[in-house]
Amino acid sequence: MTSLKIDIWSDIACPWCFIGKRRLEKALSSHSGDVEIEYHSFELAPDTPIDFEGTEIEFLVAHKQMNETTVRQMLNHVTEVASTEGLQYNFDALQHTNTRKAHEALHFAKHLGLQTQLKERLLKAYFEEGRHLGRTEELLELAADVGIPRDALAQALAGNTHAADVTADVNRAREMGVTGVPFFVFNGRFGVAGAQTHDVFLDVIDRVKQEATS
Amino acid sequence: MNEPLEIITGEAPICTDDVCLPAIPESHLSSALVDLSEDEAAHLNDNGA
Repeated sequence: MTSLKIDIWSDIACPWCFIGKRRLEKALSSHSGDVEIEYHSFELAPDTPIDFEGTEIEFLVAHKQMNETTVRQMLNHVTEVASTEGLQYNFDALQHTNTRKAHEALHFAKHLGLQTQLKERLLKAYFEEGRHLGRTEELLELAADVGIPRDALAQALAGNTHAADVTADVNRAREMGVTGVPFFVFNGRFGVAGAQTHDVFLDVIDRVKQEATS
Repeated sequence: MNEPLEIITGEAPICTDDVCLPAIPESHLSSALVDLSEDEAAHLNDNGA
């Protein structure tokens, strides 16, 4: 059986990252070998303020110079695709924010072996529950949901313990030429960009297996 | 540098610094599957990434 190590660059504020996550999980459900997944930080909009007073539509119109009609069409499309993957996106409730501290929390969680659990919790909180992931209190509550000690995480966030780890991930992505997320790397060898269909992921997994046995 | 792999075609949605697009623009990546160089792979493995 082939072991898979999958490194994933993504951002919390990336709707296609959650969808891609589901598609990858579907592909992996038929894989019988060991799978290790590690998430890496990618900041789509590092200049976003923690407290943005407005909707996701207003943010995109104001900061990305898109017209409102285009934004609505885009978000409706993403919402429809997400629903086919069992995700209930709610862009009306979504609270656009800076994701830097959320990334730091994910690095903290990695050291506890709880990173994948926290990643799932944060994505769900952001896209489905309208939670504010830029606020430390919210992050501590969500982290506690997956068993991360509140006080220890609070100390790490206050001390910027994992700030350098976030920066290193972002820089690594840049060095690899990654300009968008989600971005998946299989066994340090094959890179896959975007929320590909699960058939594409299956094809890549097959290629990894073939290479491992050849 | 590794031998290039057969390219998997088919565009996929992706989020960039600019916007979340319904498909990968050609300017960002020419294919869905890219082959990392041996140096890139070694770096990832060395760092446990």
